[in-house]
Amino acid sequence: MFEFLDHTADVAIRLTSRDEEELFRDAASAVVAILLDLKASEPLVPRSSIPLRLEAEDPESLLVDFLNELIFLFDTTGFVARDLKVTSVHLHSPAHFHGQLAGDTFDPAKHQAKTEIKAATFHGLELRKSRGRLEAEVVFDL
Amino acid sequence: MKLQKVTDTSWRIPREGRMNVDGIVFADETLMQSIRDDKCLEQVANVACLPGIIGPSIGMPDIHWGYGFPIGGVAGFDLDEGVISPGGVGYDINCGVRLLSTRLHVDDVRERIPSLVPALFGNVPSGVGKSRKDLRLNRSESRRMAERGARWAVENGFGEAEDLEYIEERGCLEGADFDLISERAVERGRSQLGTLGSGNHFVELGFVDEVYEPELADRIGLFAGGLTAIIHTGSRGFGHQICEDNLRLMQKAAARHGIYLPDRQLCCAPFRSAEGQRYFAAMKCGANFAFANRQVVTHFFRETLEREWGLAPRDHGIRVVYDVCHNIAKVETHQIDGTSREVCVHRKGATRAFPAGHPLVPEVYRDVGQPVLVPGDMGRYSYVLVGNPAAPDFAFASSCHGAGRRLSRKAAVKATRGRHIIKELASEGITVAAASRSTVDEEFPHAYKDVAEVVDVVHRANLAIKVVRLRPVGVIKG
Repeated sequence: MFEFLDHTADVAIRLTSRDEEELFRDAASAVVAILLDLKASEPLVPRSSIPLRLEAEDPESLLVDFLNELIFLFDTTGFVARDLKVTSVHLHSPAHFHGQLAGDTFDPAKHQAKTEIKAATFHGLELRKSRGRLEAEVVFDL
Repeated sequence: MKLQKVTDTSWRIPREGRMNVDGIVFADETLMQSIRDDKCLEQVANVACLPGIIGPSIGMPDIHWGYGFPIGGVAGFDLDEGVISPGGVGYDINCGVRLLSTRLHVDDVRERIPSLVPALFGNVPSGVGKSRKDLRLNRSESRRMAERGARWAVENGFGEAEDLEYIEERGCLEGADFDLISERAVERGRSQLGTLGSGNHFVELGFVDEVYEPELADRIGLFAGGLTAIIHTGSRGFGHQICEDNLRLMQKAAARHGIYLPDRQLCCAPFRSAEGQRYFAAMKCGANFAFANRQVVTHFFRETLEREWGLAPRDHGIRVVYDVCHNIAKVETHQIDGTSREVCVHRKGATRAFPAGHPLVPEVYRDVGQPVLVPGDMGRYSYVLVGNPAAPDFAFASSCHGAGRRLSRKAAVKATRGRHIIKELASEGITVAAASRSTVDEEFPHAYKDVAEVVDVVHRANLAIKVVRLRPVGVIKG
C-alpha cells in the first residue's frame, strides 16, 4: 500500500509492500493518485499493455527510474498505469525490473486531472526491509 | 550549526567544518523564526562546502528547503576552480515570471474580467495532460526553438520583436546545444510548448494598487490602476527531463573528480569539465524553451484579449514590462573585492536584480534598473521592484522570487475542507478558472507565506527597491 506523507513544497509517499511485485504496483498506484483525482474519475480500464525493462546501479535508482518512466509515459502518451506484472525483478546492486504495465489512456472527458509531476527525486530515498515488508519513501518534485 | 545576527535583515552561518565560506541569509527576526524550523539553513551550509564557491552561500528571505540547494538560494562559483550543479538550478529550468502592462485602467474593464478569464483558460492550456494541438514541433523546429528561445517564437509569429528587449538575456541563452538533449526530453516537450503546467504556475490578471516610487513606475510603464498580467511558467517536461538526465551524469562526475558532497543531491562537476559544459549547454536549451514558452503564452494572452474585448493593439497597449528567470545558472561579471571577475551564478528560486547603470539592463531602463518581479499568492498581492545600486557585492545582484509555501499540500487540503476557495475569491473580486479544484485548494492563498514580509526584507536589505504593488482580479491555473 502507499500513503501520502506531509511535505511542505511537494509530495512524499511511503510504500509498505509485501514483496517486490507489490512494491512496484504500489509505486505505480501512487503516481496515478497524484496525477489524477480518482474519486472524480471514471474507473481506469486496462486498454493497453507496455513492456518495461529497466536496469540500474542500485535498488533506489531502480525505483526512481521506474517512477520517472511512468511520468514520462504519462507526459508523452497519456498512459496511466492500472496494473502490472513482474517477470523478473532484482532489488540488489545492480538492480533490474522486467515486466509488463497494463493501463488506460488519459481522457479529460473521463478522468479528472490533478497534479503534474516533474520528477521522482532521490531525496531521503531509502528502500528497506522492515518487519517482513518492503518499505520506501520517495519525494516527488511537483 | 551557529547562527549570528549581522543586521536587522541578515544573518551569518559562520564557516565551520567542511564549509569553504560563510552562509548569509537575508531575513528579519520574524521570517527567521520559520526559516529556522525548516532544514534549509543546513542546506545553505552544505552549499558552502562546494569547491570554488566565491563569497558566502546565500539565502533569500523566501528561502525554504529544496533538493540539495535550498529554494531561495544563490551561489557563485569561480569558472576555473568552481562547479556547476543542476540542483542549483532546479528541475524546472528557467521557471520564471513575465509581467505585461496595458494602457487600460482596471475600473474601465473590471466587469469584463469574469468573461475574459474563462476565455484565457480556453486559449492557454493549463493543467495535467493539456496541450495545444496546433503547436506540436517536429525535430528540426524543436532544435531551432531550443537554440533561439523567444527569438524563435517571434520569428514564428508569436509576439513582436520589441518584446525581446524586455526579456532577461533578450530571451535566448547563446551556446545552447540541442545535440546534447535526449530523445526523451524532446518527446516530453514536444506537445507542451505554450502550456502552463500545473501546481504553482498561473496567468494572473491584476492591477497596480499601490505605487511606492512614482517616477520609477512611470519609467517602466506602470501607472496606478493599470491592468497588468503576470505569467508564471517554465520549461515544462523538456526542462524537467534535461535536469533528470544530467543528475545521473553529475553524480558520476562528482565521484570521478573527487568532489566532497555533504548531500548526494548537490551533485556537480567542475564548471570547465566536459560534464560541466555539457550540462550548461543542455540547461541553456531548457532555458530557451521557457523563454519561448512565456513568449507564446504572451501571444495567446494578447490574442484572447483582442478577441474577447474587441480591442486593437493601440487600444490595449499590451507590452512586456520584463521577464525574469528564477531557476538558472549564468556566467556574469561581478565586482569581488574590488576586482571584476566572471562568476557562474546559480539562482534557484531567486531573481537577478541588476541596478541602474548596468550594461545588461535594457537601454530604456538603464537609468532606472532592472525590474524584479515577485509574485505572491492568488488572493493577496505581487510586487515589482528594481535592482538597487547599494546592494552588497556578495549578493551577486540577486533578489527573492516569491512567497514560499507555509502549509504542506496535505495541510492545505485539510485547511480548505468544506470551503469553496473559488467562490471565496470570487466574492473578493477575483475570478479563478482552474483545471483542478484540488489544486486550487492546495494553492489557496494562506498556503503561502505573506510575500509582503519577504519583499520588505529585500527592500530594507538594499537588494532591490519596491516600485509598485499589484493585486489580482483574475487567475488561470493548471
